[in-house]
Amino acid sequence: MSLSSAAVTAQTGLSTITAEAAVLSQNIAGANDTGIYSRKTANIVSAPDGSQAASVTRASNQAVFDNLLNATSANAMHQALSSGLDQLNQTIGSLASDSANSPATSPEALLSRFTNALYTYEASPSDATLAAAAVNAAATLAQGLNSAAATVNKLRAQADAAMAASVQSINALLAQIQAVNGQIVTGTATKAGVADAQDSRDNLLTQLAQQIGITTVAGANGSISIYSDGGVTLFQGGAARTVTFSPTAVYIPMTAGNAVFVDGVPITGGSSPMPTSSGNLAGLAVLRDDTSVKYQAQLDNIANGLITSFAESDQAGSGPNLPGLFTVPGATALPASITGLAGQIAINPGADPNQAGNPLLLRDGGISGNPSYVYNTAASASYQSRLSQLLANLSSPTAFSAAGGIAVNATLDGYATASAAWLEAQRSNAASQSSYQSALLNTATTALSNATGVNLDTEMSKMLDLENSYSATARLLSTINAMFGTLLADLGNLPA
Amino acid sequence: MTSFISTQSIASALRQAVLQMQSNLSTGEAELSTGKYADPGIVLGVKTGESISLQSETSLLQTITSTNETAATRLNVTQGILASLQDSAQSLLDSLLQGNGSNTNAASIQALGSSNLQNLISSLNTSLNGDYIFSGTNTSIQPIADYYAPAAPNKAAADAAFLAAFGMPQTSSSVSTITGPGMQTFLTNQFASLFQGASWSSSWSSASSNTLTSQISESQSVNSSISANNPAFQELAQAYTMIADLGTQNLGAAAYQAVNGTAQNLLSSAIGNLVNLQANAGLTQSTISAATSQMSAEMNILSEQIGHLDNVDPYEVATRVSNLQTQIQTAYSLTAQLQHLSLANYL
Repeated sequence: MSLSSAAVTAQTGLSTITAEAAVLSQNIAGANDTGIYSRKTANIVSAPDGSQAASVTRASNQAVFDNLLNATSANAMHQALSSGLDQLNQTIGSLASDSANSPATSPEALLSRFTNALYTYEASPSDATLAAAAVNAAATLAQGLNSAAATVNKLRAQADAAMAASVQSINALLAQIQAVNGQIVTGTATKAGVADAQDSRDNLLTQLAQQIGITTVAGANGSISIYSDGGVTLFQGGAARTVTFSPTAVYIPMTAGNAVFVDGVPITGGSSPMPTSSGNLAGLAVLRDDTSVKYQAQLDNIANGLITSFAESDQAGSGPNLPGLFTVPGATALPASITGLAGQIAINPGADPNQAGNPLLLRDGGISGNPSYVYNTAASASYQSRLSQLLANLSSPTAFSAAGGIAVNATLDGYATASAAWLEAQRSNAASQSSYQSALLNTATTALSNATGVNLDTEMSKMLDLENSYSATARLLSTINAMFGTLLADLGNLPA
Repeated sequence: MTSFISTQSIASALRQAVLQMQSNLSTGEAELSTGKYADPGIVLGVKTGESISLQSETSLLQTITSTNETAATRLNVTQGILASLQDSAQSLLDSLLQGNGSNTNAASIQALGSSNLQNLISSLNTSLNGDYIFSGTNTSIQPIADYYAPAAPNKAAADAAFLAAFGMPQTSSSVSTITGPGMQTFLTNQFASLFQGASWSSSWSSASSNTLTSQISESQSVNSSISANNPAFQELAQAYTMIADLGTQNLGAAAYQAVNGTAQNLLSSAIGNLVNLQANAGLTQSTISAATSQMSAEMNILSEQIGHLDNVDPYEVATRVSNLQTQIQTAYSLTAQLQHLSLANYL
């Protein structure tokens, strides 16, 4: 051993300490990173000339990270569903019928108000004011159904646009993952540092999990493969697959939205062999293709129930029933198809005082303008039979199409109530799922942060250690320097 | 083994907790101020349907209760009119009985008959809120033609029948020559038929025999009006017209006797019918008030049930809100203290 080899060891020590300090300051900088920052540790190995920083290890925990991905997807799905249902809830308004500042606007509440107006009118059939009040209540009900149907269409169009945005961001994320994954594979092969690239890949994976549920499988050389939760390959062998979707801009009740495809395989919709079941995309697809379609069908059923309950029959001959108070603009017969009625239903201009119609026709019949359909042939001012018949129609059970997913045989009022209850049940369920999943996500985030995150105090105390080592090594160097000085001075004093 | 905790999770635990508690606090405040759930749909879920149907049931009962007022008012007015008609019929009958068939008071009896007839017509033509209450369902049309109006169809029919039977008008002084049996035959046949069936409908009444029905509860409906075509009114009209407009003051004793006797029979039968009508109307009135009080009891129960579903327990919410306040304050002071808990401060 020589004095110069001691100096070399001290030098190596200094560079090891600075390498460790570099990792440490990286950790301190990343301590409050809201994305994924994994704690880095410098690996020190013994070498002939003292210890050296050989590589940087990244703290990781695959199981906890997988949990985080699952929780992220599930949470995103329920968030999407829950916010969509909140939007549908606008059609209900306040639930309390006596609430003054936000009146109940649900089809059920409007129907109940109209029924009450009709009852009041039935008690005094000669009163034109009460007739006009009943017709106005009917107009409000029809408008309520129209705007509820418009809300549903708007929601479906929004969900469709959000799906397009989601697909776009999935493709962008996959492209980024492809680039980062390439760096990792190359880095792993050449033994270069890949810790930061791995962090950024994990970050991208969490963002991807927001949009679509994924599972990841680690491959050789640090590469990964990504599959959707339905089992469709999204990323494999270093190549991202293309996710395609053609958006539909305008939604009417008959519109069926397009499915999202990966490599030609649909991953949303009923025909999908491998449907995706979590993530923002899945939530939006359920909202667009299931929830809002059912609600639309319920509204259409209510509209159809109104039109048929108020249809007029031929009093003179045996002609077909004609639309009465409730109709579809321009209709000359009862509607053949139920689909879309909620968006079109209106009151017959013949009975609408705002369109120069006669509200008393509600009592007399013949709203369609055909004299054979007049019930009150004697023109009695207090003719009640027709009104009683209408009220009986409203309170007797009728059959509804099963497309609404709720009771098929109920009174109109019962059906409207069941529809509101259905919506609130969906909402309540989505909200509780959403808060459950978000709690789960919090737990998973905390667990991952604890498993792989940075504790500032630990880093600080490490810093103290490094500081001490550094000053000791520096001290050593200066001592060696002094020793060299002494040696050189002594050399000068040697006799020639 | 020491457990590891990251700085990030120490800080975010508090942040998340404060967020959660603040949103709970705002819900609690809303519930405390209204006494109802902040978002009943979320809390009730599928039971929302129950709350909605209870509410619409309540509003339906309220509507029926208020429309019952309409029927009750109509029946009250009807009762008053029936009572006054019965009174005036009774007093005419009394006068006829007192006269005991003699035609000495014929002129005053005739005047009494005439005023009763006018009273009957105006009573039956009573209208309430623009509806003629004795018109059956035909409420826009005055039910009884005014006998004393110019060209009145009922007066014309009576005049024509009299002329056809006796060859002279009622105003002729020769009515004193009409015999008792002659008058009796006229009264029982031609004259009586004027007040029945098609002749009644064509010359006297425009009313519909269909009476108004009222839905007085969800399941009950009752007849809530009386038509002017009721036999009681036909009999009254017949008796009053007989006395007022068959030349009563000039009739011979035998013919007067016939008029007097027939009128007495008709009046007593009419009074009996009027009493029946009043009894029936009274029964309907009590049915309506029973239905109304039944519905008001039902509404109390319903609103209690709605309260069970929608209302929050104010004590529970108040406790929750004050606990949350304490918790949030604790979280704030913890945040401030954690700020100092860093090794960096001691280096």
